[in-house]
Amino acid sequence: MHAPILRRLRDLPTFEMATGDPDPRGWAVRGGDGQVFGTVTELLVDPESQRVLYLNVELERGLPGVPTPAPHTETQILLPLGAVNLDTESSSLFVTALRRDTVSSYPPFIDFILPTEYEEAMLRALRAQPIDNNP
Amino acid sequence: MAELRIQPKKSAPSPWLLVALAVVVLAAAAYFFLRPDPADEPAPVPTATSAPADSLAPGSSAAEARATPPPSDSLETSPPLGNTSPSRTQLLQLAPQLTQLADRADLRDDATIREQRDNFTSATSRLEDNDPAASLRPGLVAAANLLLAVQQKAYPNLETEANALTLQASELSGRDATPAEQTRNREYLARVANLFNTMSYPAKDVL
Repeated sequence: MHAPILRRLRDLPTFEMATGDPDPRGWAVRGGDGQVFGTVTELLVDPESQRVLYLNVELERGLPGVPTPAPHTETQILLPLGAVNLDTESSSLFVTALRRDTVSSYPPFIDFILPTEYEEAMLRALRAQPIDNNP
Repeated sequence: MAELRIQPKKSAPSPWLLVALAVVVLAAAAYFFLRPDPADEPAPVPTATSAPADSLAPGSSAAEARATPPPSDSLETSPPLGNTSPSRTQLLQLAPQLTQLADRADLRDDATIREQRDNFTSATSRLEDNDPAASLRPGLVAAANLLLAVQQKAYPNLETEANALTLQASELSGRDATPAEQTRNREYLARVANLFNTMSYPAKDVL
């Protein structure tokens, strides 16, 4: 099984969200306690399977234990879509494995690269089983 | 577990298609606003007519050629309708039958007949619309010219009658106010009806 080639959805002008599926960009990201700790800013997709695999989340400033980002930058993380629950009514998504006070232990997403170690670190932080991104 | 899918964007319609659509809409709007007034269009020709009771056998060539029934005798003696002039009423009663004669299969392809038919329908449609400026004379003269054209096309034996009718039409004033004018118009229209009655028979039957 080859690794999917991830692309930002905004970089694929010929693609859009499938009819009937919500576009979570701009939605609030809430932890297991219901508290908001970030906002979805981008979707990482696999054009071949035409599925969203990761959510690019911008963390709020001032979260406990999260270093203050450099000026004009934001701290970002990636969340596997399989680790979140979507709530279309409130335009929110819930990550039960994270909270505002524990998100500092989650690996930040530094650049648009996704090494294997980063993926393993994500999964460890989520304390979840490996997520099948190619069902 | 959430699942989100993406899909290729649906292709947008070609801009040329939109341009063509806009042109069609503009053309339709231009036609709607610039078309001639319906009052100027020729009066519709009635299509359903009852066959005259005569001795022609059904299906015979003579019966087929006789596409227009002769006018009823009551045409010449019908009373005036309301306050309109009796000649105008008679002319308008005669109009559908004359246009139907001009539309007969063996006559309608003749350019002169078509032109005279258009002239006649134009003149009578103004009378039908109660145009206060419309005169009776154009309709009376056009009727004679139409019958003359039909005569020249298919009824060589009726040359004398058609020419006399045209001459009589040229002498009409177009007014229908005095008893004398009404008498002249009534005699003229009776002559039109007689000639039309004759022309409603196939040319080979007219001696």
